[in-house]
Amino acid sequence: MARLQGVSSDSGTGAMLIEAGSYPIWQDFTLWVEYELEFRQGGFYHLTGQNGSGKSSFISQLLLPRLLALPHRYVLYLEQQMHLQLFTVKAFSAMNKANPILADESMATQFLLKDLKKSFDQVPRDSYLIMDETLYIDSHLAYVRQYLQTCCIIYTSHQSIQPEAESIIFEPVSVELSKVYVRPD
Amino acid sequence: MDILLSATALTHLVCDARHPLISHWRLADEMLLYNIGSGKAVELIEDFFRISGKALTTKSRISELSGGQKVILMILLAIHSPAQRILFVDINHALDPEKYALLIALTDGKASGREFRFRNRGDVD
Repeated sequence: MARLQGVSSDSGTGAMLIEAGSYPIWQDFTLWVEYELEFRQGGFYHLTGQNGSGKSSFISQLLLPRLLALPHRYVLYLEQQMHLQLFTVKAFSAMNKANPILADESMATQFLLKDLKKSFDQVPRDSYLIMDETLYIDSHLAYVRQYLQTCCIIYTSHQSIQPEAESIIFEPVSVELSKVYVRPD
Repeated sequence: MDILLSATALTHLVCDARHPLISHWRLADEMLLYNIGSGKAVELIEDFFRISGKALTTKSRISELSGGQKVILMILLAIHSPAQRILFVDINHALDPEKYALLIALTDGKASGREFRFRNRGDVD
């Protein structure tokens, strides 16, 4: 179960919490969250683990539904292998006469980030940027640090290791179970 | 320029980690697309289990694999296909270091008379 700590009635500011426990994600796969996980505004989190350890499943089946169920916040999710998502973004931008026309993943994700900034500038709210093996992580981080400093950033990557990020480890216990915990300092 | 428009892509089987699967249904369907006969299924499935730790059959629904497992399967399908020239795109982004090393070693082992190329988006031809 997830809950929001310190919620105000207007902006919903606070941390997103995932309580400790066992979470059946798929029919034959469970995530065991060893201790409560806290995702704070301005926080920076790296979900790390080998292929198949449950990182993307954690995002899509546990974190996102809880974020989207809560009011008064912005959530930008750049999914893994986002080619289908890209078609939607390209179509949306074309309908809104975006200039230049979005040609690739880099341009599409920049479009989405600028749209998030535009929304935040108009109505500041708790914001979450989730990047699941996004190709251009470094440039996205630079943009968010400049324009969306209170945004909570959660990312997965086998290539980009950001030393300042808090690591959340996904450790396979068996094919059907992975343990999730924060890397000790 | 999108790498798919490059001269290399016109002469190679292109395997892009950003969209690794085509059929999204059963393994047997994906094998058909790669022109892999049933005789190679056992070796393919054994390689997949050895690298990913996950057991498959030809009737397994490949859409239920994790993103990284789909990339592993794509690479193995390409390696076991009749294609003589294969271009792998962005696979190092999708694989943890251990699995990337295992698959690179596998391409070395299957390289006789064949060409395997590895590129990332933004590489200049």
